[in-house]
Amino acid sequence: MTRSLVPTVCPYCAVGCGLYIVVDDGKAVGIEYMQDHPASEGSLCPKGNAALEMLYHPDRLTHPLKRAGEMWLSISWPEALDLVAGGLSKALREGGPAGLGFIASSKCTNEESYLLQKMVRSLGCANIDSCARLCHSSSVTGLGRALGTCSTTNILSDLANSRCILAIGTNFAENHPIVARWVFRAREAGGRLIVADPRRTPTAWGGDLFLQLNPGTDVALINGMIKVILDEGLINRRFIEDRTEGFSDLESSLEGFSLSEAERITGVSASDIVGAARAYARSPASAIVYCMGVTQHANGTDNVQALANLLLICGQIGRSGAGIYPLRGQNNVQGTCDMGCLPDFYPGYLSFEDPRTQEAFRRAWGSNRLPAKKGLTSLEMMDAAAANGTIKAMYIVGEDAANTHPCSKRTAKALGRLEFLVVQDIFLTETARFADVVLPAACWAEKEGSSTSTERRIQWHEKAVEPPGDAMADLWIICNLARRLGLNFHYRSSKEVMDEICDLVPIYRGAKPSASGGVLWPCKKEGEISILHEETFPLARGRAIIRSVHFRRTAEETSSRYPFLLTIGRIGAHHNAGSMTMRSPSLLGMAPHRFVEINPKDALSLGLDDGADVVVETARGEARAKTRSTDRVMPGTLFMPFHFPGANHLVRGYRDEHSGMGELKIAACRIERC
Amino acid sequence: MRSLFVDEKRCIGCLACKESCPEGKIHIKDDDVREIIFPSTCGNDCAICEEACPEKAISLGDEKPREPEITLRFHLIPCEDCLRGFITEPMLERLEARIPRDLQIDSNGLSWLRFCPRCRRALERERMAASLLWE
Amino acid sequence: MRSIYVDLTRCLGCRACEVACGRIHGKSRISVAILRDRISMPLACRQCQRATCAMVCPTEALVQEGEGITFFPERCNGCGLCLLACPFGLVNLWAGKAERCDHCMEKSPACVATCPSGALAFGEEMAFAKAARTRAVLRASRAIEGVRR
Repeated sequence: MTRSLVPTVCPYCAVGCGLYIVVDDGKAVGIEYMQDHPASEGSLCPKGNAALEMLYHPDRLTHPLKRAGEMWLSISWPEALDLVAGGLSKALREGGPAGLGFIASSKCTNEESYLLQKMVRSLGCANIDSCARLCHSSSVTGLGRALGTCSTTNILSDLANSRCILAIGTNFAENHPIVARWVFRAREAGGRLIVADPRRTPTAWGGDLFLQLNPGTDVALINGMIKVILDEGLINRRFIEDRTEGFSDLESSLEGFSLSEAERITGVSASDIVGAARAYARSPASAIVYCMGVTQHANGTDNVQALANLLLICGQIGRSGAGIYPLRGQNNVQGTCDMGCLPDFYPGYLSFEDPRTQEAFRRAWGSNRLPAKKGLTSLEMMDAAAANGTIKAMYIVGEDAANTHPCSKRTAKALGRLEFLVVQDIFLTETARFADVVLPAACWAEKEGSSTSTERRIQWHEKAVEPPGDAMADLWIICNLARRLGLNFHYRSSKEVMDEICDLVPIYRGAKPSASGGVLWPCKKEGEISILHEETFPLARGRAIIRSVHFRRTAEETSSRYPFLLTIGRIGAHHNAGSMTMRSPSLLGMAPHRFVEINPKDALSLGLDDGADVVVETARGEARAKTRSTDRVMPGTLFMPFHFPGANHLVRGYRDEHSGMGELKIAACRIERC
Repeated sequence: MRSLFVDEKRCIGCLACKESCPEGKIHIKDDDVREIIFPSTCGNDCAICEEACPEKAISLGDEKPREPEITLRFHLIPCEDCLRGFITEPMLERLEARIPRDLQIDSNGLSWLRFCPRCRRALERERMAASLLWE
Repeated sequence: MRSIYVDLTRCLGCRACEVACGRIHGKSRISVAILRDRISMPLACRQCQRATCAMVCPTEALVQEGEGITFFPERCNGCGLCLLACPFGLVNLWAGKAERCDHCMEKSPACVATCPSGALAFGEEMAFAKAARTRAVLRASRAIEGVRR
């Protein structure tokens, strides 16, 4: 009986908790806690504790599949790879590189994501994107423009050093529970927690001040706080003068904006807005923690810029306890973005527009075919496929776009119209059902590689067990495919790819990611940089950019036909489109059905008991659910988790012009008994 | 092949025989009524059910059984809160006999024995909330 | 004697403890539920000093030993009397045997190790009382001011 403990990282959210998989004779049989992990100290949320449950599920894809009418034929790898190479080559010949579209997976390793975008760009194609489009693309644009980076500025444990934490649009208590560990330590030491959310979530229970704002009114709330800070002289004048630009523009833009206007729009009392503003501005170290409630709007970039404005005028950045934390949603979405799986950035967030970037990668990759212009986002790719067929072929890795894209019926139409679709995944998802070829991939415990958590921690994980059947690591698949497409991809191991990454990607230079704790980027010889922007912002003049934003309503208006506002979000038991968690008995047991939260007053006036079967309908479609009568939601607002397929069908595709993010959070709806 | 006999006057309707049988031959169906269904013959050589029964109600012998199955029925006393049946009369009597009177009433004066385990948890949470938090 | 303590200001209701305990023991011995949508309260065996479960056990599988309870699984016949004798409903039946929290055999309770927010702790009563008093003082200093013009 050989027993070993294999260090690895949880595959679910981006906190990146370390754990050991107990392997007995080649089988994963248990979990041991990694007590010295810098972010989690050994703890795991319910998903982390259940992480092994999906490993041996009978639905795991074990063989490459080829569509034969309504059925799937099991085929060999050589045949599958030939088919894929053939299909992609044909599309290249007929429509050029612009006719291909690729979506990278936030569950692949850094090495795999790096190779995928290298392959795509080496074919002359610029159309590569990832799930970040639906998640923190507003942060990539918002924070990228304001601060020059898009990641947490400080590390998670540093939250314990904050004296005031503003948690806005985040339900970390359910979805990033380890964050609560550090927030509560700050609270123990006398720090204050301010929670802003239209819903009274478990995160709000722990707050000293709860700002229950109307959905979609974040800019008005933050501008209200900024107005108080300006009026009461609570700005950090020194910081503004030395390290920022654009302050006077912000000042004049808010001249016509009053506290009572903020109160009217947000529904939060002026007294609470003042309290929050004073607490945030006056504390010696304040942090902002935010997530989808801020980003998943068609004005998401504005929301993020507003938060940047707030922290910049107060100088609450660049030191211990002061900074901003965009909480990423998937174990390697940070890494996949760092590796350039975005249509407008090369690895390391180097801009497409910069000729030096083009030249550097042309030389490094030895390719003259690199695309000259940025490509389409994943949502634009679907538009192109659905509408005029300019995208003829797509290759989707580990993303269930048919269920996660807004207005998903349009995505389904797009996928149906493609001439050739390849899906590489671990389960036969809704998206995979549209494919011509399905490639079975190894999952997180079955391959080695590195992933980067939301706090910029690059962690290495060892391979713990073999993948089932013929499933192969994405690295192997991509290399073999690339070679068939004429590219010189001969990498013998993930470590070789990581060496190349460390050479080429500035923020990863010098990284030697280990298991058990990893290393933070940017890696410097002097040691880890746990706090960004202590001295400078990596923008043109080294200064952060304050830019005025105005509240504009991007959420749908209610009407007599659709009198409620539906908000959609995450719950703790499940993860994204549910392909993994719905197949984990412990997690499914915690939340087996779709539910819709409704305020008891509304339930009473509609004659709905708790647990009633209802239909929630928007202009895009309908979804069935069971009611949950609770005062977590305000009267007039409903909440539905998006993990049960069918929720994202309901939202419309109205998008943020800067980031391409859809208005995923809010839809006008009606609710009726079934 | 041995035959199984159950003394209805001794059986208290607990779960011991069903939980102990390694072959799962004894079935219990709960509703308003608990039905315990025994096979009246058993090909196994063990005497596990006989030994497990805390009331010595089961005996294994050689006489030919008259019916293929023996079914015992117990009314399940409903929980005072959720009204779901959860305990048989004889089991409740046994608990009332073994637990000291002063422990059978909780700090709110409730006879907790008449509530099912799930409702007891809910009651405990209410008790903790009342004593620790202010409403 | 050590006990598992819950800091009710930290319990998030995430149920990581339930999943961890269930993973190790088959069925979770700790039970979490949210009350009034305002607070989450985990419950696990109280390690009673006058344990009613031990009083009713027909086979002496559950025995009161000093201030604690000891379980002898080989004596247990799965009758379920203990389950019905617990005033708090915190005994389970799993795989034909009674189960209750025994602090992971008095070693390192998994729920405590896994709790993301640090709401659970395992130790002696005195240490917790002192920590609780300190926290109460610090908490009192955190009032947020409103408008006072």
